[in-house]
Amino acid sequence: MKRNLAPMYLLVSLAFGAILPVFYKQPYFYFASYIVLQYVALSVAWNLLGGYGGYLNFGTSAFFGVGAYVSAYLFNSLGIPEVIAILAAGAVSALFGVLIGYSSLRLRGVYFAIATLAATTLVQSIVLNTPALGSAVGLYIRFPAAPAIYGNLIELLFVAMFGISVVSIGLSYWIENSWIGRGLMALRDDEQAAETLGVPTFRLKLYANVLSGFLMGVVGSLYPLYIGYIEPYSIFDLGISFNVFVMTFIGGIGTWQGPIIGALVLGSIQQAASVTVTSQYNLAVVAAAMLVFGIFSPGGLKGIFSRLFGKRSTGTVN
Amino acid sequence: MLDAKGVTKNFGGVRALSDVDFRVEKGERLGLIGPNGSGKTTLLSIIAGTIRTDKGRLAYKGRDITRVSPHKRAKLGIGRTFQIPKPLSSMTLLDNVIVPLVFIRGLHNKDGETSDVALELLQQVGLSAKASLRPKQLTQLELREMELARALAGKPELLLLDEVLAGLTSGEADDVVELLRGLNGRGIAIVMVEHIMRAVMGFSQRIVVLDFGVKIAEGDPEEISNDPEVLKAYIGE
Ligand SMILES: Nc1ncnc2c1ncn2[C@@H]1O[C@H](COP(=O)(O)OP(=O)(O)OP(=O)(O)O)[C@@H](O)[C@H]1O
Ligand SMILES: [Mg+2]
Repeated sequence: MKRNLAPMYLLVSLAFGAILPVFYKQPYFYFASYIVLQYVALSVAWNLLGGYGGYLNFGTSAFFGVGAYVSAYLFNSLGIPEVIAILAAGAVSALFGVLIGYSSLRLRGVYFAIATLAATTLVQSIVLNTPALGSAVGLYIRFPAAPAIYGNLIELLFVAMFGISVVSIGLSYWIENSWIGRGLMALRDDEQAAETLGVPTFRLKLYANVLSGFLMGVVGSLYPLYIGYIEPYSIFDLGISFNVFVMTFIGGIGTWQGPIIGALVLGSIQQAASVTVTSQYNLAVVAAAMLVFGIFSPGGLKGIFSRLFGKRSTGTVN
Repeated sequence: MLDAKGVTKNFGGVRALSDVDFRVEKGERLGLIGPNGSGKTTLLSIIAGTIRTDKGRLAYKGRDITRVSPHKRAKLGIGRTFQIPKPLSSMTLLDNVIVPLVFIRGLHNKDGETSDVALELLQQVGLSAKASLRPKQLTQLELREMELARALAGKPELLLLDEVLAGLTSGEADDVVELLRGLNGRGIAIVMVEHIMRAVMGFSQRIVVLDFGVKIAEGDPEEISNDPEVLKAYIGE
């Protein structure tokens, strides 16, 4: 993909996603694809800090959940328009990223990883103890009407998630090729060397965490509309965080293509398995894939493709 | 241009530096010597900012930098090389040099011109033929030359060199020393940490000697090589 063509690819993809439901009517397809695309967007967002910067976030579901609860609360209790609720969810989630970042991104990566795990439990228990957010009982969502162009809400949600994925991918591609990506990769390789070479390491980690958190929050904000009912145990589920980590790892961490490939492949397998077998094995599928790839192909699927087609497998800039 | 006072550093029970005063004048060539483990690298790290001093203050160009982060010090003109090279291992050699060009000098990330500047810097240290290789394909020696190229990329006014000559043949060492003299001629102050006495004595206008984290002597090369304290530190009791 040439740089000057990138905006065109972006627009064509967006248009494709927006038009698809007008011609292709198959509710299950949209129902399943929504979840796959949700993982694409989450994995791409995760990769910004985890892949380029090497700081592993195990709290994806915390960011996702903050977005879900903020939007559900705003829709339901205050009747705020969806678009504003979605942006507000992203903003609160980004703020959450600032808080976690300030408290732990100055330290080594392992402290950040632990902080993100702890944050998941923390927000979960805050929600559990907040009656306005439904406590342990959860919140039922009042569905908005779908616009006339799409037959039903699921098609609209598909289009929205498609758009969020494409925009996230565009952002990730831009970051990978910009000074921000170069700085993140430098600090991932060696933080002391990066600082000595002028890289503002803390600031870049914080940027990446905040942008990543914003995107995860936006993704989460649509979930209540998709599922109709949210409660703290399924929303702040470590399984979501684990999925996202493994999908990115298997697709090819630290490259803009990797998380897309990983989420499409593993997400589709999970969706297929939950129809044909049972969704109980979702995490098992992912865990098995993780072990196999960890042993045989640390570069992930992207690495395998690159080797097959003779390209470089790492996400470094030229 | 650099004025460090009372620099002290403890690592657990190890006292790496005790109350060291250290000055570098503008455009000066200063040698920093001492036996293994005497605190030379630690002092350079404290000046560059990757290690914080426990006590004392550092001023650079009249400004207190004691609490200034390393990347800001790099932008203020303090450059350093690492004794044990710290390459950015996922990047090519060229990209390793582009990082400071982008972040210290503010050159554009993907400009052809930026690559040209990086290539020129690699040429200065004799590495231009290896520009597209990755650090793991290079020898330890070549990585030290890369360290020098990266440090020069930031156009430092104070250059801290941690054993850049180690392992070079005497011909190669002479080439590097000549390069450094050229840089110094353009007004760059250079602090050279070195075990090769011939090189450091020949290069430096002034020498500071550390032993067990204490500054035991300071003076011109002539004085230092006749100082009984220094001889004792090097030869042992
Ligand atoms: N990060 C660290 N943690 C613990 N101890 C350290 C650390 N860095 C240095 N030291 C100790 O501090 C003392 C000074 O070390 P330093 O590396 O500054 O010496 P040096 O003069 O550069 O030695 P050399 O000539 O071998 O490079 C040594 O005793 C060393 O073991
Ligand atoms: Mg040393």
